[in-house]
Amino acid sequence: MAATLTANAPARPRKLLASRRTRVGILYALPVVVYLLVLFVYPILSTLFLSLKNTDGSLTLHWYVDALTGINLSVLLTTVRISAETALFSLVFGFVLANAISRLKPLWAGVAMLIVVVPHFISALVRTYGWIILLGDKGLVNDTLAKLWVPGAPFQLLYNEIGVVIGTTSVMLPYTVLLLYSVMRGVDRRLLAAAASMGAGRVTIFRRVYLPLVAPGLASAGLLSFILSLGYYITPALMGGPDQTMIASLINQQVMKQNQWNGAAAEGVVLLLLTFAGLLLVKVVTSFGASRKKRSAS
Amino acid sequence: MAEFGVVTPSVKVAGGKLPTATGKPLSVVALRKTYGDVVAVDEASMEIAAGEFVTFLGASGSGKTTTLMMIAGFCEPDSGTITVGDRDVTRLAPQKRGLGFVFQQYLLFPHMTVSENVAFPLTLRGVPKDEIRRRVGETLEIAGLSGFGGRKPRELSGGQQQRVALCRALVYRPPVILMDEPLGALDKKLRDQLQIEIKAIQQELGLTVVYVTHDQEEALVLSDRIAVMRNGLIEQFDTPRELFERPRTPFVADFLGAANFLPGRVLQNTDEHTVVRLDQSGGLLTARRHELASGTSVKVAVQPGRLRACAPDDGFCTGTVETATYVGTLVRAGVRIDGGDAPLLRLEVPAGRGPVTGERVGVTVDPEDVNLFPVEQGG
Amino acid sequence: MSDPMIGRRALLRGAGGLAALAAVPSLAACGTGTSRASSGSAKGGGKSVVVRDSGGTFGEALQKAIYTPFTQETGIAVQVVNLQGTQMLAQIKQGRPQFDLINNSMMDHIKFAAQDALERLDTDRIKSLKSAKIPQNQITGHAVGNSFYGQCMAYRTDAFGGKKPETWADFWDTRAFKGSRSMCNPDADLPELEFALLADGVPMDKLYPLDVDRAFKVLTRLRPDIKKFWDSGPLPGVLLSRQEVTMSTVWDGRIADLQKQGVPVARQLNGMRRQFQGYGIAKGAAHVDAAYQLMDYSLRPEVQARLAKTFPSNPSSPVAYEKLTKVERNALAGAPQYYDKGFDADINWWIKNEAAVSKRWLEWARG
Repeated sequence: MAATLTANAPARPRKLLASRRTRVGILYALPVVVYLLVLFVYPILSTLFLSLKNTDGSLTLHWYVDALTGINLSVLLTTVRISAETALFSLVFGFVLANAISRLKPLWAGVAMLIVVVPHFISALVRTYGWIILLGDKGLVNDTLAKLWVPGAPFQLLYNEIGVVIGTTSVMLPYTVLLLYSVMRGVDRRLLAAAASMGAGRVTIFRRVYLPLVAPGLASAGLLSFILSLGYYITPALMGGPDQTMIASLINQQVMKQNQWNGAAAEGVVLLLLTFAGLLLVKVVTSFGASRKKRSAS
Repeated sequence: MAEFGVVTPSVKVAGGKLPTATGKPLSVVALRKTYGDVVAVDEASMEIAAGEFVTFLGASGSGKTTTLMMIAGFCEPDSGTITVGDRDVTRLAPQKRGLGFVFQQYLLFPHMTVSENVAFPLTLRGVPKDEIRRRVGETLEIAGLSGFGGRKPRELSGGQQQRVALCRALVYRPPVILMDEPLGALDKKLRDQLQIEIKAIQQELGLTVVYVTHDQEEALVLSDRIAVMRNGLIEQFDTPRELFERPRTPFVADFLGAANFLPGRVLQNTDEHTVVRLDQSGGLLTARRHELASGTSVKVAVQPGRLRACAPDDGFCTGTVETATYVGTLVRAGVRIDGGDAPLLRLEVPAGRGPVTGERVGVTVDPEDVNLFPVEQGG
Repeated sequence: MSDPMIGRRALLRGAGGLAALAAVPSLAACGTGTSRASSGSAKGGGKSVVVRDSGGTFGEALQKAIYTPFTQETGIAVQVVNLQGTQMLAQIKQGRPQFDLINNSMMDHIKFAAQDALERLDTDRIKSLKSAKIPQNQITGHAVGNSFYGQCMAYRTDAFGGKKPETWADFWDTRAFKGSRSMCNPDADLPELEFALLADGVPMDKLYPLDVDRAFKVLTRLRPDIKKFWDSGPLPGVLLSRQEVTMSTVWDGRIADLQKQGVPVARQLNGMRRQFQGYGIAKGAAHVDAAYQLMDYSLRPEVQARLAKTFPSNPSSPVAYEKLTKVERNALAGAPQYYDKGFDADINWWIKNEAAVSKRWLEWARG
């Protein structure tokens, strides 16, 4: 009746194998390494260099001071705020949508996916027009609300943060839906049945089984939408006002209008650091969750 | 449909550990399920006693899994009732039935450790933490999994995972544990071992188990009673011994005993016996008394192991040994009966006294071991 | 002098990488940027010239009215690129521009010239200068004006009960002319400080140097009624047609289309701000001769008139207007009879102050 211990991994031979593998692996990885060096590391380093360079060639931090003070700082904070809001909303709506789609038959799931993705291929101007038709003062939403005698209608749903978040969320939605959908498809539905068989109700199953199983997908989808949103400027420009100016817009202005590469480089580096910070945050949160779990288990 | 008496199982119930069941832990009445035109389960009825190990045995498509799923609540019957204890659970959601379920695919929660998996049903029931820890530890120990509590399911072998699944299903002492081919994904050796373990745990804890399998041997090793199912019908629900010795249908005789079938006609009935004239050899065969009128066409079913070789012309028929295969303690022989084109009569006789190829032998059988099935018109 | 130059080139090459880097998230967000029609490297045999324009419908009009007939007449193939200012500058600085003739704003030409990115023009090689009577102030050492556009007022004719806004003061008067407004975002064009000053009573000939403080003070009065700062040419039209706003500033060429669509809008040319477009030749251009030929061809009055018939751009040549019908002439905001209604933007003032004003604008707009 006693179970035999089978999990004693043969550690030594594996290690030997690994070292030989490593050497061959490096050889295989060489093209990738060169590729990354040329196309990733070099541009980043030059950007970094540019951002530290004064107009007369001397080293300076004043581009960073510039990027992190006054209006630039406030734009930066706006960027983070809108990205976070976008991540949150696209996660929530993405979750609901992906969850619904994952319960559909494959054919209908495909159709639903298409509906989610297609707006992506519509030109920005047409999309803007569409949004105005939908969300404008005389748009569909406000017309309907006004007809229903909803107090306060028409609401201003455009050219403010509501508009921007609606826009960025809709742009982001295909990513989160696709990501979450694939994660949800990977969840064995029978696990939920198993939980039910033990007496777990719907809410418990959702909270304690389903959610933890799709949590990695939620984390990566949220991170993806946050990071992608950091670089947005077209949608905020189309659907927001000056209060929703994003940092990418400033970078674009500096480079394209003012030919001011150094300041743009500094802001680019700040944006890059923000992206890394987002990555790090998710890493920390997940590893914290894991370690907490481990502690509670032992 | 025949009615089935409840056979009190000869299992020792560990006293005091169990919540005392008031009535039958599980009874099923006239359960029916159709998918379109296909009748998946047809009027299945049975009562299962506390501490009993019952198996649904049948080929795939026989309705055994559907029946189990209806009991578990994963699929809804068209009609009929399911009662757990005193409660009618027919229309209840699975989580409200309070049953245990072990799946073929284990279905352990991958994001939880072994301990968390086993503790899961207890946490749902608001059991205090200390109590949970104690009971999880106890249960894992019974399953021989002490020391594995901190591992994740993926770090365990298939057999270990199924043990954890078993622990998870029994840790909260459900009145009935349902198992859907739990050993189906394991190799033969592990299956044999786990059968013994499951049986031991079931007996030690006095569990009431409803088990589904297509593996006869597994059913025989584990079960107090077996429901043999075919085409949605319960052909027979009995102890393994009864199924072997008193099959109610040719199917059961064939499925479990791999019986020889010989066509014949009832010649006469005596107080204790029914005599049959065999169509092919014309020989007379005496069976225990069946309630069959003389002249009735019958199928005579005899298991190979119950047939004995004797001197030619001493038995109910005579023939030539065409094959004789030595299989350890037994010799399997095929005898070509004189006077007909019937298939070979299969015998299993103890090795040593076994017939050899080409030998002329008579075949005899104890009347008690003969089962007669009337042949239906057109059948 | 050569050392810092090399340093700068290396920097710019690195900067190409930065552009790529900075663009990564934004590109993922939306496909934008330039569509480069072709890489116009010189090929030995057939003569060719590469011209830069801003693309879009204007680009199509240029192709139809100028490039194609030019090729027919001269046999010189015309290739088009739609690079942005900074991209052009980077290429010129590297010494290998992929374009010869630049059709760009005169303001950019001045900026380019200041950075030694344009060839000094030999006006003797542009014969049509005289026949087209291009105004002297549109001929600099490095560029020649070919057209101009106006930034004016557009309003819904159905919004004010028959009243017509006449001045920028009316634009500011939201009591008499109800409804939201839209003005341009510096992403699209120079901030519209002049309009604020005109609304506040500054005479048109006393605008420059702009009183920035006063302008922003006046802008602040209108800020709550500005629903959207438009950042692309078609947006004012969209906003007007959807009744999101009743009045907007607009590029003059955009109104005719709206009227054709039946949108009840009209323009008010009083206080229109004019900005000029022109031709320059990239420093180090591979086809200087052909570039001169194309410039000469497209400045001809009849060619400019042909363009004006295709697209509502205003020729710099007064002669060109004489070659239009009266209806066509009246439709053009740049027609001589409207000249006194507007003013020319002082690009020298703007070159000095654009960056600071844009920054201040953002601070102001964000409140």
